[in-house]
Amino acid sequence: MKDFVSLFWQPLKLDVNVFEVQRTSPDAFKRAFLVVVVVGLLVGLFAGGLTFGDAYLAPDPQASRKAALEAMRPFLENMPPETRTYIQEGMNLGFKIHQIIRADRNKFLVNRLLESVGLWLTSPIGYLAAIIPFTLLVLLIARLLGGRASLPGMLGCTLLAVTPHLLDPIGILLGAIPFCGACLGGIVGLITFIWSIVIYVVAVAMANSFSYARGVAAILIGLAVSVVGPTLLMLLFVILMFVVGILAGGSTS
Amino acid sequence: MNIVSTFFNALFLREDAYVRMRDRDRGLLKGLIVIILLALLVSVLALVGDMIEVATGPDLGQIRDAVWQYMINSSWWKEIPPAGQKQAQQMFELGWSMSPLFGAPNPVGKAFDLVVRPVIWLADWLIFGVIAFVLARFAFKGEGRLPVFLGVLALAVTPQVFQLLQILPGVEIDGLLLNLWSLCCAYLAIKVCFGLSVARSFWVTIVTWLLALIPFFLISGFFTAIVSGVQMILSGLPK
Repeated sequence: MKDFVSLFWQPLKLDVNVFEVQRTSPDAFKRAFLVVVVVGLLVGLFAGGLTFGDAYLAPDPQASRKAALEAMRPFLENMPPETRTYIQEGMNLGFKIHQIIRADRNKFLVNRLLESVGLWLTSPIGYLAAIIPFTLLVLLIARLLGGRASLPGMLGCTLLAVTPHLLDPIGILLGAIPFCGACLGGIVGLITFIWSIVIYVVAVAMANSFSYARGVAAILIGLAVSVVGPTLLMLLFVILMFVVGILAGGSTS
Repeated sequence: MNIVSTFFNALFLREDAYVRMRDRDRGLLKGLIVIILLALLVSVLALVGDMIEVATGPDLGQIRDAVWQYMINSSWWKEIPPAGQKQAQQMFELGWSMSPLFGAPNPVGKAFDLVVRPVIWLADWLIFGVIAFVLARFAFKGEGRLPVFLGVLALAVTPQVFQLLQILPGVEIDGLLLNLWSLCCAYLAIKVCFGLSVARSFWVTIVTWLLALIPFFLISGFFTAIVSGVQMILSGLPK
């Protein structure tokens, strides 16, 4: 248990020993996965709780409709009549759908509760989906740059970059403060983001047994490929469609 | 319990799990059972999840009617000629029938998955397995037997275990993550069964995946078309 808890604190302190152990452990990926699950469930508890709380405390449809009409009145009064009609018709549709969704409050709350539980349980998957695909690309590039990481070793080290996200609940709570909340939440988010990147660089370097400079290079090349790659594919697709269009046009004329 | 521990060790990319599966008696049969059981379990839980969503969610028929009423009573609808209104109605019906693609619950479609999902997973497994076997044995001079390899390759289905979360309404699992994770499992299966180096195992995995894309799409497309057609026929039946 003590070893498992150290998987949370040691990456945060940029203690390289944890990555040394993870690099060679046969259970590296499983241990790092469990770290992601714990962090994800903790953050997801807040996100899911807030989602359900919003639904529970939401005003009834009539009150929402009144508030929305009141908020739109200054804009509607200054619009040309035809535009005002279109917007009012669209708003009425929105109110009608809102009423249908909230028709049975108990059913609505049960649905939102189940969705919040789903959001909670799938939070770790969000982190995995953000890290694993990119890490596989970086692993390929790192191997080309002389790295020696194994697949489970690389994943076992880089997934530990999720540990700064233990601060996310603080960011979420600060974000709820009126006026300055968004700013404070944003600062916490920025700290988390930068801290994660630093841990990720160290993880890549330690997993591959090479320098931090090569680690940064592998990551930057990976970023370039992940941005440029899809753009190039899209361009190739457009060119292909263009050529097919010309050939099809030529065959029918 | 032994197959369960092999299953989870394979999920977490422990090479010894793949070695154990390779050396197991009747590995092919066990692999086949793992694929079918997991496919059925995922399909059942996804169906239950959609039924829960229908039971607790808003009445989609009422929402559909509200949108249709909005359209035909709008000021702009009256400006469209009758032929255009008929076309707009057809587009509306078609768009609404595609709502399951955008997350609307579809218990009928999910019921079909009880048959379709295991068939697609088995077909994908065989297609990938045969192509990888041919490449690894003949192009890259690996050593291994097809039945043994297929048994180990069945462990590539382990990441799909996260789809069991679909019992909760509205849950969507990232397909790219599961596919890449499965590819990593397939890479280990190839490495262990054919005794290839890291680089050769990587190339066999990637080339196999590329070559298998077309048959994968054809098979998925075929079953999607059949299921959609049957659903459209059923939705046209008098209530």
